[in-house]
Amino acid sequence: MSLTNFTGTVTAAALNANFDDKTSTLSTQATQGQKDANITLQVVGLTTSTALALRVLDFTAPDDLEIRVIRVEVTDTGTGATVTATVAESDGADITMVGGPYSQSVAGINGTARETLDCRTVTTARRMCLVRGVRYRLTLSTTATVTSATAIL
Amino acid sequence: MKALIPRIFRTGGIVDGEDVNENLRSLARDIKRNNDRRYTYCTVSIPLDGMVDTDTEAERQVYFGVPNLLQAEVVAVELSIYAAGTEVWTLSVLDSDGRTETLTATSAGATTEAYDSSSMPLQFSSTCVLTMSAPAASTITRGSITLSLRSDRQVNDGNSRLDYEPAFVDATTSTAGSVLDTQLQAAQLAVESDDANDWDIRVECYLARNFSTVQTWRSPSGNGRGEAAVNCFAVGTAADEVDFADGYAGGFAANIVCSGTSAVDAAATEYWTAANGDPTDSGDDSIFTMTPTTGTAISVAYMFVWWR
Repeated sequence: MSLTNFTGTVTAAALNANFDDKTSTLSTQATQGQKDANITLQVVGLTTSTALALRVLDFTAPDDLEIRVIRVEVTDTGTGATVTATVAESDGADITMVGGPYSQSVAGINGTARETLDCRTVTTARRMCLVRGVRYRLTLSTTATVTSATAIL
Repeated sequence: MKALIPRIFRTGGIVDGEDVNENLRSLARDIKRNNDRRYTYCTVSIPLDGMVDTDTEAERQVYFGVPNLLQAEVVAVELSIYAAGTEVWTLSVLDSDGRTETLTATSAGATTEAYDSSSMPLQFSSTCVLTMSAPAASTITRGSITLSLRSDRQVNDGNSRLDYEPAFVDATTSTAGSVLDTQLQAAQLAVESDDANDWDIRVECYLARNFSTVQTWRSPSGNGRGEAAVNCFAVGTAADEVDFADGYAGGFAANIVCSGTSAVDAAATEYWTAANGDPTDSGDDSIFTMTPTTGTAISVAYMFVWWR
């Protein structure tokens, strides 16, 4: 970032360069605040009968937030389970109000398996932004018992 | 992304003062826009699973300390619990200015949520203490305290925030070069002030209660996660030890030897440089662990990881 001080005749090129220098810097700065933060839900001993209340995380978006990735990570010795993480708008304890579920699953677990959905490049679902002041729910579900399951936004 | 200058000047043309002023106004608008967007928000969830009313106060407390020289403001506190019976759980939040905010939630069963929230801003530059309590027998099956934090990047980096109010040129200006220099230099001061302020503070919490084996969490990387500080706390029987670490190369390591179940013990803040990369690549993950020494069970241990 530098300015060319004007002396004598002010040339058009120098004038443009000085304005362009400032506006370019400002434009870069406008995107500097786009930083990533994670929200994590972990459930130990997730089963098909685990009450919904015990496998959800509710949170209120403090600002407009873009979901960049959804990751599911599962630890188990079996291979038969499919574990799914879903994020949706919620109201109260048990009711999904609006907004289609946005989810990622992991299957074929034998040890630790993880899958990450890149919400910026996926073409099979819509990108999802969380709206400031709205309460959202991150939910884990499974088709069979697993030792541990984690969902990360 | 490259900004557009509203007016481009060409050699051989006449410089209209109004064109110059339009560019100055555009600069002022962009500077104000960036200043208005200087806040970074994040949400941190503190698990309460397994907390019992008869736990010691230390076991029912969470120390929430922002690393040295940084500041953050709690803009919302949420308390969510699932517990059998109908007991009133109280969350007391003591901020660093000595103010206390109280939330209450009456349990309504192990699968029915009890919830309370507050949006009273709480400022803290050092330690904030969160204390849960219940007057009678109650076990929280599942629950969490969720804090919404707002950090001001321009406060945290210690640089003043400057606005820019242009003084416009007109047709009678006889020393155009000097006048333009003055305006652009004033704008540059404001631009540089914003450019120097790039500390967007975010925080994560990893907590385990009543554990005797290693606890592990993975945290995907991402934009602006290159530098981190961690505050570690533990409560346990005297002489029991828990070791905290980040498995990422060059990560931190901290040990706490507990002084008893009635005291919250803390480790010195650790700083390290982490991966600052791709959240879809698990190779860039941070891997946080808490490891109790053999044969011991730690009442509760937690770490707050601060990214900037």
